[in-house]
Amino acid sequence: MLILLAYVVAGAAAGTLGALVGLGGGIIIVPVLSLFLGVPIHQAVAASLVAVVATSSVAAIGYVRDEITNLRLGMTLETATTAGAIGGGLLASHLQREVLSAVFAAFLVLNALYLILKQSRGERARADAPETGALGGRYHDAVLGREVSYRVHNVPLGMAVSALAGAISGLLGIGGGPIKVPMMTSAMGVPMKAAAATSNFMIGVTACASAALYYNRGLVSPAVAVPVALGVAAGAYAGSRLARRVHGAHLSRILAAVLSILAVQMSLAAAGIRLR
Amino acid sequence: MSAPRDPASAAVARTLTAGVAASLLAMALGYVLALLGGGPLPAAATPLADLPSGLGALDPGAVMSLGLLLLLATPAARVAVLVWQFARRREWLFAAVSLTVLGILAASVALGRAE
Repeated sequence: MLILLAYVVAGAAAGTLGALVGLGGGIIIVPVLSLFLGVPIHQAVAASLVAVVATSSVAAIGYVRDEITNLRLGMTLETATTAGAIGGGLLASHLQREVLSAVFAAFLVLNALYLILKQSRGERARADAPETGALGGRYHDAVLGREVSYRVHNVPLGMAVSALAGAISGLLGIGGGPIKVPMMTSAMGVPMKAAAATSNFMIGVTACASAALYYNRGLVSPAVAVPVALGVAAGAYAGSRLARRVHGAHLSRILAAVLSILAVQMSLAAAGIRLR
Repeated sequence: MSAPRDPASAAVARTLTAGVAASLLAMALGYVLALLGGGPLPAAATPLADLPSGLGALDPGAVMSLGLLLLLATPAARVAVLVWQFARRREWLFAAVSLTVLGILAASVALGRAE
């Protein structure tokens, strides 16, 4: 009974933190489940994919309604992320526990770096595009108090990186925002807000593609996935409310430190050493 | 939050809300049923073929599995909604793109069954 409560709490914490700093919960859920709650890593990945679908869907309702999400760009890149996700999902079943843990540890380090770098690099002001093209978009920025419009560049590169992000998502049970958001802002000319909302929008469909594989393999355990999903949905909602009152910069640094510690533990687990 | 001007955005938001609400409801109900039953929570999801009989018997595992499946079906449903929305506005390119994504999702289900 206590373990069930632990799953809900783990999900809620991951959902809240994720929403506060702009990460999906997966990057926290997988290590916590596999390192501390004794869930085999393949099952932890499956539960995390379910949680990722939940957070993405809950958060997308608001972003889509506010028309910040770029539906056309999202759908276009989804052709690459879903195909990549199937590849990652198929690959995962052939990888041993230790290898999967090692790959996850490497990705945790990448996420920690992303959280730190995101702080120092403010969004560059860009000239508004009078003509948005087929894939571009426009939305009302409440902070700037005006309409922002943009064109989308480098679509082939975006498709390639999206396929990679999808494969990592299917392999590790995470959303992959830290790959897609910087790609959209730096290479494709999408403003930060639209990039984050569109990445979140894509994550649900991407996770759905590989989750179907995990479900058919019997790796989606209701005993684990349901409490985690319920926790994460509540946490994501609470986090989005809290976000206005909490200073994101400090939190990002704390989370970067937590991810680094988890990375060390994941590496040790990969090497067969288990610390508690 | 104001109502979106774009009907496609409004339709997507409605689909996501309905899907999330239905799945969370089923998951929470199954969870409560399992706790009331006092038995251990089901470790494996109910296979699709056994779902109707399990639901009829209010089996906690089947109700939780239904919740999980509804959740996983939500993103697929919103892709289907976009196929329709783009086609209705004769944006054939994006209707085709959305249809492709739906096809890839169907392929993942088929691949999972073939494994």
